[in-house]
Amino acid sequence: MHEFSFTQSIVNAVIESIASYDVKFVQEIEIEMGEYSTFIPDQIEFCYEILTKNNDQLKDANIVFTEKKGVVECVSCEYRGTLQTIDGDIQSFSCPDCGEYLTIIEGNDCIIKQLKLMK
Amino acid sequence: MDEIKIIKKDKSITIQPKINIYEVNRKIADENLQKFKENNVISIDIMGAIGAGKTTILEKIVEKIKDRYNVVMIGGDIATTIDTERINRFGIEVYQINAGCHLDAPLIKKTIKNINLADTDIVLVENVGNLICPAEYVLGTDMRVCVVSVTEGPYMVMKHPIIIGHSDIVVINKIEMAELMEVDLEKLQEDVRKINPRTKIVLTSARKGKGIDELITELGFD
Repeated sequence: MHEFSFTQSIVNAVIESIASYDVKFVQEIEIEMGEYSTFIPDQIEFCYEILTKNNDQLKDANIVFTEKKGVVECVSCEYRGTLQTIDGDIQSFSCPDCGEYLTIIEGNDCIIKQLKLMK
Repeated sequence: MDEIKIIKKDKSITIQPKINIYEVNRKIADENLQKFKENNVISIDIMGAIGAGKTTILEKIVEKIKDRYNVVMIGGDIATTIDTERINRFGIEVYQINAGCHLDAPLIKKTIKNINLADTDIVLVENVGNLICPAEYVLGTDMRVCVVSVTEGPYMVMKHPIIIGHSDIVVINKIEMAELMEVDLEKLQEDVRKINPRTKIVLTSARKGKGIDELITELGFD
């Protein structure tokens, strides 16, 4: 639901990142999405198009999404792995080994990993 | 931020900004929590869908604790000041934030600048009615509470595992309606436990004041 403001943050970060370069346009934006982030790439692309339509440097950039696998750790035992799913695709924060709580260590970030710029 | 720059022959440059979009919010949330802790303020983020009963629960809590604690309420809504006005009736300080689909740490930071935290014991934040967006935006509170209600049907918990997974307390409200709504309360609690084994579950019937004392205890207000 907050894809628009989230994408605005991405756009701002890209503008900030290219500010010190003599850039004609941004060719590609690589975004690494954590497995446990709830954002949907299609929605971000849609918002990006609207937000950058008047920005010649940014508007034609190709957005490439890569996924960063999640890592969780149990607060009680030695388990380190990913969130398990129950009843099909429902993520559970319950440790498969001991049933205690799993804390997310990696996989809930969204990182602007790489930008390809054309001079 | 370490930036690696690769310059190619075809006049293209590749840079690696490594900017984490969530980082700004998380950093400010840490600052907010620090500020609350420095002033010995207990802070609670109350999340839940529209109509789950967040404001009614807050009314009942505030009514019971306002004479013992200095309570401040921060309310987030897309429009209107209805909820904060309901809480203001109890004579406590309230702040309204007209936000989008969730509150975030910068909004809380801005708001708490107006609060005399040294004279405050408890800050209750009522988040925007939504079970999706608030889950990803920590505010920097001691505790996160998620309110679901029986009238939302039997699948609300299973459909929103992320917010349930991040909640310290899950309140199941409007339990008096369970039979009418054909919602199995045992099953609903089992769903919560399957997703989050650590969270505490409190059953309430807020309008009737049922379960409020137990919730106050779980929140640590004694």
